[in-house]
Amino acid sequence: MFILSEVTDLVRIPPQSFNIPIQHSLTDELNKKLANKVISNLGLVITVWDLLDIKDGLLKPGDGGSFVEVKFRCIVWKPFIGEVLTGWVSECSPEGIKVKLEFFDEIFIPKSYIFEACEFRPVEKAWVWKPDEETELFIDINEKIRFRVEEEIFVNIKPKSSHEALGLEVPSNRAPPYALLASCQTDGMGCVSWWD
Amino acid sequence: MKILNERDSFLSNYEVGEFMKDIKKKYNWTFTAEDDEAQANDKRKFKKRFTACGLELEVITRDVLSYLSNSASSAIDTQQNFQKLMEFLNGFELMKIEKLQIVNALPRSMVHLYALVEECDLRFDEERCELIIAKINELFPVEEEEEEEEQEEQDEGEESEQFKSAEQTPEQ
Repeated sequence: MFILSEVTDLVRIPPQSFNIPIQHSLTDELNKKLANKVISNLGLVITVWDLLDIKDGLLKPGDGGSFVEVKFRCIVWKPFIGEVLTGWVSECSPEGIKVKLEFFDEIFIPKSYIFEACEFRPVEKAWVWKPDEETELFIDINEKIRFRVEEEIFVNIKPKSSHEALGLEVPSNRAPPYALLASCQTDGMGCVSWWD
Repeated sequence: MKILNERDSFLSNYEVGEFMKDIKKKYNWTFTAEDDEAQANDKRKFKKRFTACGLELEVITRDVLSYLSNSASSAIDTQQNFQKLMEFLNGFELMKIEKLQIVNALPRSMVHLYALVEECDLRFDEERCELIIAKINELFPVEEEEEEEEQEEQDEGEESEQFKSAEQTPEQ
């Protein structure tokens, strides 16, 4: 779900934007910096909602830009623990199911959080739920799945090393800055089509 | 950067959707072929695509809008209907967060509603739960259309298969 968070930040307005109204240039600068980024322990910032307070700009010797402290609210995507969401299955592995939303990919349902009577079929690369002896319900890739958020994991990401920034070194498997652990254990969870 | 208030208020998917649509309109972005067409037909405005806000905003606007259009809350069409549903839900002893989840997910089956509302079976009897679902179906009728669409899709699928077989026959 989306929430509004109140944040203050010091924004540098470059001299070439002095001619446009400060609200516009501030919003642009903030969007450039924050949109589609994860703030640690907060969530995924979507965009600026509104500006609450704009302080006077400060000048630094040797810099043509002006530094403005601004108080604003931004839309943040941060599901709470226990929230029920729907997404798409992107990958099935023996360890669990990876789920993605259109704008967020790092959702994982570990095998211990899937229905008890569920098993992984390596041949079909799919998880199969057997609510009783005869029925077999498949969780396939690209199916719409409903799940409950159980845990959120924030990882502090180090800045890129100079080698990585130049493209000399491919970054090794980094942990994503924000990931969700989800579960699929109670009635109503699992593929949306099962319950309609 | 300092976070003053982590959660100033909650937003429903509908509100976010409206806000993102405004942004998209403001910057004249087009994400689908239909958008392109609509803009080509719109002769009044000058068609400048502003990018001063950076690429990331455009990416997230596109993705969030496509997420919201795929989600159940896209059935909410007008603010009046949204308001009606909220007023109706206020009559129940629901937590704020539960109401929000109902508005976002628009449950149309008992199982789905039970998943959203904690201990739903203890707090509400079946009749009252059915009232909620009935109200949702009344305000936002969608299921029949969906079935039709599926039917159409299937028809199309069959057609294309026929096409393929028709194409293949002369080769053979």
